[in-house]
Amino acid sequence: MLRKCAFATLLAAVAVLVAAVSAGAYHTSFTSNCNNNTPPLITAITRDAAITYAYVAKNEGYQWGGGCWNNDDVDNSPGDPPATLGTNGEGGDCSGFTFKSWREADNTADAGFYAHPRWRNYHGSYDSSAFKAGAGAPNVTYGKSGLIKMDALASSTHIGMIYAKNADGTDQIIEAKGEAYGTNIWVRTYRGSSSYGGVRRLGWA
Amino acid sequence: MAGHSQSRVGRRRASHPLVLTAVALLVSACGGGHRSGTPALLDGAAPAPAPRAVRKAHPGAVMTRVRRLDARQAQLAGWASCFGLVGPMREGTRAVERSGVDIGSLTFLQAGARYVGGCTRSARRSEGRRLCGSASGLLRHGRVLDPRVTLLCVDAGGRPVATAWIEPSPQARWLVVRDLGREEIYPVSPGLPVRVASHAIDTAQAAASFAVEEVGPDGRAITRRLLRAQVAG
Repeated sequence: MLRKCAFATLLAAVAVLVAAVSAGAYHTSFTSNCNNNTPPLITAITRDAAITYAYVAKNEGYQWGGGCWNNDDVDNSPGDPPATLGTNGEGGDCSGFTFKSWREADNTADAGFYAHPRWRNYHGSYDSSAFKAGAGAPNVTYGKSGLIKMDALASSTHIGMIYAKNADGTDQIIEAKGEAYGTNIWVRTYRGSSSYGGVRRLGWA
Repeated sequence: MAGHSQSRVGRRRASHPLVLTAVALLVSACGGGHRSGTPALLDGAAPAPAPRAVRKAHPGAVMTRVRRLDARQAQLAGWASCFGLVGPMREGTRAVERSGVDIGSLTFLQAGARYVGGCTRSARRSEGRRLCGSASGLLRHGRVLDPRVTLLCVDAGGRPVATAWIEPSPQARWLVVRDLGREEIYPVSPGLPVRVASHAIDTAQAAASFAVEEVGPDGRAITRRLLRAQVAG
């Protein structure tokens, strides 16, 4: 009888623990480590420098409307609900990640390059649909066949940047994919999809 | 008493032609042809009178225009490029076109019905484009998950205007949005969120605020809220 009771107590404790961990998954407050300091204007960078910057976010998290990540190759706030602001998790979303990697200005009329530290929790004024339309002074729509590294492919709901072109016509895309996936490089066929258009950031060194 | 007062005004006007001229100049400068102080809608039309139920609590509010269109009508109304940006409409459905003071919008259920799509335009072209915003919003249980705010439109005076989708509660008949000391009335169209406009933009956070009151069929307020929406996705 005593053994049965101890076992039941143990089971209950495990259940409570599991429930607490899953319920608390999106209460990591990762963004309490972040800031929103105004970034300094810098001279134009190269596409390779942009790749280096974006690569740091590989294996980090994804946060809807977010823009802040570290460099420990772990999603520090997994399991946040999709399309939900204010869950304070790690990572940018697809367009916030593109905005920072392209070193764009907070002011959409400004085509200059700005140094966004990865700790800066700022999304920027463009969602994927705005990027697809080529909105903002630094951005233009561009024919998909001519896209090269660190150009982007955007639909009305997603955007990813070209990390490398594959010989078979696919691309390695560096992108903040979603809460369930985080940020990484995947082989994609966006270039062949009618939902996606080409976008280019102007002014690279 | 009132008649007496009017006749006195009439005598004054008749005896001062300069005053008449000045009044005429003032009316034309302030948008004569519409009711005094009421701005025209983006499509150039004078706003319809506000419904009586809403007018009592919101005197002076501007009634925005709404109409339902099929895909062909939407293209003829200048929204063809919207379908190129966000994808086609779901077959058998109708889009909702809205015309407010600063912003016109189109909202429709996208093919596949998992997303609601739409575009916005304003009096000023944005970077040479007819449309100044486009959006696709993921639906869950028929309601859009995120307001899909856009910050890239400008009004006729060059001031930035934000737009976002509001999901009205089932009882709401109208949304009244307060902005720049003015109120706009948006009739609710069942089954689709309402694209509303606001100048309350916080560039430092890539966000905007919308002061929204939901009004029921009897004119009573159902909810009042300040929706803060941030650019995302």
